[in-house]
This record gives sequence, C-alpha cells and structure tokens, in this order.
Amino acid sequence: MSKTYSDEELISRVWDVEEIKKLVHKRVYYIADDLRSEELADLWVSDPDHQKTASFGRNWGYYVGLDNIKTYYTDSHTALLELQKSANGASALNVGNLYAHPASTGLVELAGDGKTAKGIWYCISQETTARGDSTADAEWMMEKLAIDLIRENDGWKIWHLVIATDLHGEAGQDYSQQPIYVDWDSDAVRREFGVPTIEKLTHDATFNWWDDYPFMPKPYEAFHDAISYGPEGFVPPINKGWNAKEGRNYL
Amino acid sequence: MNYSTEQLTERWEAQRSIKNLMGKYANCVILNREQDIFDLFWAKNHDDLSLGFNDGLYRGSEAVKGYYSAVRDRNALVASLLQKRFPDVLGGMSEEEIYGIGPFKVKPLACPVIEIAADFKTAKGLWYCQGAYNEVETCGPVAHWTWGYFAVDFVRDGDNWYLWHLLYLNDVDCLCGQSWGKVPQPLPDLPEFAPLAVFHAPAYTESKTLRELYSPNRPLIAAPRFPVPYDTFAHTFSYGGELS
Repeated sequence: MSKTYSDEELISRVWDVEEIKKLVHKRVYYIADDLRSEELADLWVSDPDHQKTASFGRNWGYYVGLDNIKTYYTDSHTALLELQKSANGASALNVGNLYAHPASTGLVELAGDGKTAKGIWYCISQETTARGDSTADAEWMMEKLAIDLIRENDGWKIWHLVIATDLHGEAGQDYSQQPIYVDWDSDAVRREFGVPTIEKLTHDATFNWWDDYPFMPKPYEAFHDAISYGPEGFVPPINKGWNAKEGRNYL
Repeated sequence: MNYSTEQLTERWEAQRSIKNLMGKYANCVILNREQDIFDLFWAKNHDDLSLGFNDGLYRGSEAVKGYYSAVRDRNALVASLLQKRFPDVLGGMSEEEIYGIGPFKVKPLACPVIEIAADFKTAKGLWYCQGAYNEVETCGPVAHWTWGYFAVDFVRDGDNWYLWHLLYLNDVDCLCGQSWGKVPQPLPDLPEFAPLAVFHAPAYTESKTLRELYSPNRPLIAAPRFPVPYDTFAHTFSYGGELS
C-alpha cells in the first residue's frame, strides 16, 4: 500500500497498533484468571450493531452474535466447571485448574481508513484440568489466534476472533504417538466447543494440512466481508499441501 | 488523556526503551551474565529497590545485588564441577574461560502490557513468560519448564529507564518430559554434583509466599494485575511485593 500519511497520522497509526497489541495481551491475563464474562464486557464490542455480527470461531465453526458467544464461552464453561467441582468434591470452581494462552508473533494490519484492524498471533498454550485424585490433565495446545478489531467510542474492541488449534496433547506424552485420525466425538477441545451457530470445518488439523486458515492479514484500505475472520470471510481452501502455495487467501 | 504528536512519539519511544530493557535483561540471563545485571539495568538513585520471587523478596540495592552475585557464584561452581567431570576437554582451562558453561536459562518475554505515567517519571509493565531453565543440579544437567509472569516497575533517570521493582513469579516449574499435573518423578542424585546441595541463595529480606506454585489442589490464583493508565506513581499500585 503506497498511501502517504502526515506525521500526525503516522504516529497515531503507530500508537493504534500498540493499543491493539495491548488489548490482545490483556486478553491473555483475563484468560489466566478465567474472567470470561469480564473479557467479553471489557475487551469485546459494545456497540449493538457490532455485537450482532461478533463471532468466535474455532476449527469446527463459529458462534455468531455476542449473546451466542456468551452462551458458549461463559455459560457453558461455567456449567462444565460446576460439574468438575461436584465430581472432584472441590471447595470452589477452578481448584487445580490452570490456563495460559500467551499470544506471540503478532502481525497487525491497520486499515487505511483507521476504522478497523486485523491481526494474527501464535499461541503455545496450555490448559490444566484437575481430576478428583490430586492429579490433573495438563494439555499443551498449539493454536493460531486471528482477530478483527474495530474502533469504538472508547477504543479498540475485539469483533471477530478465531482460534485454530493445530494440535493438542498431554504434557509428558509423546505427540508423535497420537493417533493420526482424531475422534472428534471424544476430542476434548471439540466437545468443549459444543454446537456452534454455524457448523463448518474451518481448519483441518489432520496430517497438519497446510490449509492456511486463519489467513495472514495483508494491508487493506477498508474492511469488507471477504477479508473477515467471521464466517462470511471463510472460503474453503482450493488446494492443500504444496499446491496451496502461500495459501489461497494470502496472495 | 490526549497527547500531542510529539508527546505520543516520546511515549512510544519510552515504551520501546522499556521493551528493549527487558529484552536485554532476558538476554543477560541466557548468557549467564548475572554479574552485569545490577549495574546495567537497576536504578542507582533509589534505595527502595525490590526483587521478588515466588517465596520471598530481596529489598534494597545490597540485597538485590547480593542475589545476582550468588547466581554468579553458583554459575562458577557449576562450571568447576563440569570441569572435573570433563577433564579431557575442560581440564586445562582457567576459571574465567569456563565461566558460564552449564546453565541455560531462557526467559522469553511475551504479552507486554505497559503503562507510562502521565508525569513520565515512572512506568509499569507486565509480561507473560513461558520459559525454561536448563540447569546443573545435584542430579546433573536437567531441564525445567516454567510458566509465569514478570511484573516490573520502572523509573526514569535522565533519558534512560531502569528497574525499580521486579517480580518474577511462576505458576509452573516442572521437569521437561513430565506433566505438571502429575506427581513429579525426581531424578537420582549423582555424587560428582553433590557440592551443589550445600549451595543456597542468600536469605530473602522478606520471606513470604508471593505466589504458590501450581499443584492440582491449588485454587486458581489471579495473575499479577496488569497496569492501568495512571498520572503519578503515588496513585497506582506497586510491584514491590505487596500485591501478588
């Protein structure tokens, strides 16, 4: 993009990118504290029109609309924690649980019009879930994190978010010994995601297919559906593997 | 708060300096240059410096400096033990030449949330650190995963930023290849590394649990608070050990 900006515009854009990265980093600490309701309230869109089109995607589809996102991300999660607490005889929710999804390798593109931005990060993550026998299941999770952000009156907010899990496996176990074909009915991450608003295989982790979803953002002037990290921006990959070149969406 | 273009530029540069400072700190740790850290990075004109870990705090410049000196001494001890273990290669080398062999401590700093005070005199930052340390212990060389946080207050002196209060608090510290959710399986001690058993870091100025390490029975503990915009340090919280 060869657009020319004034000094004032340039430093404003540089600062915007810093604020966007800070927002995504704050989300890491909300997750660590398991403050999902607070995350939705503080970091996600608050404009009613934006809330209607907000989306939360994973390998198997999208929850669309902030109410549906809340039902999945907060209410279902809390219900699972209640079941765990009861099964473990724990004194409180989240005893023995640990969450870490640090986001690194940030790549942020601010729209030429400055109204939206797109970013992608990689997360070497873990979630640890207590069992009732003073042990816990500690799970490595490797995932891409892609986010559309939109500027609201009080700053940048998360609008569309995709977490594409590349692999997950128990700490201390040999990943290469995992079965090639994942049984999605019993896959813990798949089960946690539940039945989304739009069911769709967006990221096929079998064989670590190079399906390039979510795709890397590239410079753009104004947001449009075709480049969205929401469901409207998903296009099934035409090719996988070498023929995908740099990915169907990158070029 | 609204800043002019010049002020925004200055604040962006300050933020970059602070990130670079922490990057240099992490690189010194990787290179086992603990003996340089105090002089390079800590504030010299403040007597209320603090350096905190999960189970205690060093307070004051002498105590902070003493911690890094102890790490240097331990590095030297490890090197001498490895020299005895591998005399064919290391036997003829001086203490200075072998210094630094053995420990490999990787503390990559991610997810910075940095706030610079409106008065531009102090700053605060929180980082997530998914790290590792590969140390020589009484069982010999061994690798650990660490998952935790760096929470730091900075102070400005002239054109430069310096460490004022630093907390390095882990959730997980476990042997690589084992699950932190299961009972740890310690490795057997080796006689050639027995002298490490009697080596201890200096006593904390203040021994207290700043953060309990993860166990399957530990309640979820909040991460150190990330900084929020503030005008002057008196109007915000401190990473000096009171809040973890």
